[in-house]
Amino acid sequence: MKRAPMTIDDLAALARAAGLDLSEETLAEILPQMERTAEGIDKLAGAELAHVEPAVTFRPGESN
Amino acid sequence: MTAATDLCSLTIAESSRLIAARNLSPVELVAAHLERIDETDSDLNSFITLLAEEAVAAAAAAEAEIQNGNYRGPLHGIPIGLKDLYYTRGVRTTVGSKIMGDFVPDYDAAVVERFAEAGAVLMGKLQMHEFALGATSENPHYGPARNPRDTERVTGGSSGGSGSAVASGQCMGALGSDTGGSVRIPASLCGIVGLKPTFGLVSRYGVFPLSWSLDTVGPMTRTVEDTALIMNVIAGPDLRDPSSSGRDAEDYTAELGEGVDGTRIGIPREHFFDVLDDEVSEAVMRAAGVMEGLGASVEEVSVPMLDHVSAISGAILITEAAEVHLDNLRERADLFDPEVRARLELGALSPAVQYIKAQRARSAFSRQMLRTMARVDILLTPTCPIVAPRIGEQMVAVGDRIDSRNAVLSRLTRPFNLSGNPTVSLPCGSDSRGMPIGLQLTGRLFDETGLLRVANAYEGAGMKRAAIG
Repeated sequence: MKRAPMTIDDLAALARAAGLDLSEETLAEILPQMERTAEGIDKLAGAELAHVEPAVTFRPGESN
Repeated sequence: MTAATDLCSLTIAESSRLIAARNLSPVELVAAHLERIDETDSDLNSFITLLAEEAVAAAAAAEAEIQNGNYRGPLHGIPIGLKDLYYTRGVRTTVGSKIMGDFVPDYDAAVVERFAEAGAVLMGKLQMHEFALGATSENPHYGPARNPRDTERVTGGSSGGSGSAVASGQCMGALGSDTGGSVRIPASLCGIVGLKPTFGLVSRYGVFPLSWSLDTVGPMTRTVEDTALIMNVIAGPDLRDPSSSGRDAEDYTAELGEGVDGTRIGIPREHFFDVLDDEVSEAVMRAAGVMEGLGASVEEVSVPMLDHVSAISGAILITEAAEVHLDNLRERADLFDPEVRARLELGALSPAVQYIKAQRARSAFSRQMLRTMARVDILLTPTCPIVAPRIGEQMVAVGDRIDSRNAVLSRLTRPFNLSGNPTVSLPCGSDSRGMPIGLQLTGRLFDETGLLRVANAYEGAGMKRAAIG
């Protein structure tokens, strides 16, 4: 299923979950940037990432 | 030109030879740089905190040591500056912010320790974009850093004070930090040399983070040789930094005179020449011609995922940065620069799956880079698509496109923060208005020695060192 475009309401819910008090005006400014980033990430074809793990690793025994 | 200006025009290598031979006094050298700062900083605004008294005392101590036969090496008695995100014990470290405006660390960053051991003289803490999250160094709390070539134009960022201080002769070298281009962009826009080392080669202990998986520490100087001399001091393992590679430092000056005969240089087919000012493109292709004339071979290469790097890098950087600042976003958001705050809020709302997908894509891109770098020794590209924009210019035109200056300025530098490869920017000419253009050279992982060899060969053949601005 294709990702549905984000809405101001989606962002408002995310902001509440993150503990941020953001105005509707701020959310309206964020929305197109959020969509642009999400579209950019969506464009990464599944085949390019098949069998690829994220570039973040956990090394047991290292507290970091 | 005054005698003080003459001293400020010397390179680290030239000065250190004179100091070692006791033909130049560190006290005199530091005094000349303080005079230079006094003359120029009201125009340039390079410094957030000037450490004049401390620098004079350190220079006197260096001079006494050297007189007693205890010369420590090429940075002994050399005036240097630090971007104001390096922790300095007892010295205010603002990270370019109001939020940390009174923060005084109780310990030194690893690289600050290494500079102290080498006998370098710290002149002060340098301007930057707030929390290193931006490419211009227009800072609402401390004023904009101004480009020495044209003070109506930005220095680039986020290490803008480091760029202006070195280009103007206020310091002989400085440290910046580079997460998406923050060493190389101001190096390009101010007309100096800036190196982003391989991720993990230089300790980040005591460096205020922007994005843990992308941050690097890098030198900014007026020559490639000076960059190598600083790397000789700051590179190497540090158990206190979880990202430290554990690799020992090399002598990064070892191959500087060896030239580029037989070196294979690749020019990527994708991304780098899509959105580019004509004068920048011409200067970079001229540089490729100079390399061929010196005996290198130049060929086109392909790294298909380059077209995705802006999305990948952006998703990783803003999400990690948002986590660094989440408490401040919740409790004192009004103290941020509104532009910086907007970027952090975007990161705070970004879904976790997007971040993880971006990190998977980063792995895939890194594999493509490894394959490419098995075929060629060096990638040659422009550093920035444009020369320095005017201060306050929000949107910039490149070819037939108009985009935000942050996006444009970091478009060509971000790929190598993702892959981790060492990458240097050095001057390759100027546009019709006299603004510097940067050439970006990328080497194999941990081959800073080879990368600086190639950069030095170009510097020797392609460009005369710019006069201090």
